Amino acid sequence: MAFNSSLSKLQWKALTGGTYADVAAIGSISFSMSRPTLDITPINTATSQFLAGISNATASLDIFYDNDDATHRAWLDHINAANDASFWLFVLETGESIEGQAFITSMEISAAANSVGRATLQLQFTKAPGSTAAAWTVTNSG
Amino acid sequence: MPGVNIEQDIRTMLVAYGGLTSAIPAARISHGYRLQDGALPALTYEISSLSQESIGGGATVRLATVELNIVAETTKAALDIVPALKVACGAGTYGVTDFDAVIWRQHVTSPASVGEGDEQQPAEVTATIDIYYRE
Repeated sequence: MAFNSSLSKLQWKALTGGTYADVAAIGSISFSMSRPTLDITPINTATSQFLAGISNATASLDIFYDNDDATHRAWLDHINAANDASFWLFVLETGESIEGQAFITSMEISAAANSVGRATLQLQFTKAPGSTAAAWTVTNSG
Repeated sequence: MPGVNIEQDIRTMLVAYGGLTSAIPAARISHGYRLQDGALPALTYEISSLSQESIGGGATVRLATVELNIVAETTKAALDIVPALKVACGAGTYGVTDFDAVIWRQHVTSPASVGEGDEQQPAEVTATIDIYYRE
């Protein structure tokens, strides 16, 4: 079943302490999960063979940047201070969620005539060092 | 808490600036239409589009594109009001609504003209603004 993205939301919390809180002014969000293959095709064979490779996940956010928003400022501070990965929770309108731990790898603030200031963030999901948990999980409440 | 009435809040923004209401009395600033024989100058406005710009979580960012029409007897009289209208269209809290950004996109001038007989068409300046507000 389709979900209404306008009614979905992003929540965020720092690595230690705090609880998830809604983040305002998110224009769009996109996740990219991938698992490149490892080619193990031997010579003298007519069919390719692969092993499953290492999974990877990234995300991209487009936000209406607001310097008065404590979370937006915290994200900038995370880059500036090279902070550890923090927690991200995308809650679909239907109740399902995608949750993971990710670094902010870039944050690009832009301003243009006849528009409002925006920022684009790139996230890199990662496992916590020493953890056996996956870098991100999907919860299906449906 | 009362709900957002963006049309009303736009009028609140316009009449909040004395520099504008000294040129156009607040009673002549209206949503949608004005009486054809009403006194000039006058200002009407209407929302040409309204959209949701952010996903959920926190206050929703919305974008209202608004057309403002200054109507005056002469082209000069209409254009003389434009600077005050630009100042009036500013960010702030109007009613219960936070206007985060108000962007003046453009304005177009339609000069006064004389029609059949002694009929005169007043001059109009149509301005387009974008209002990013939270609801």
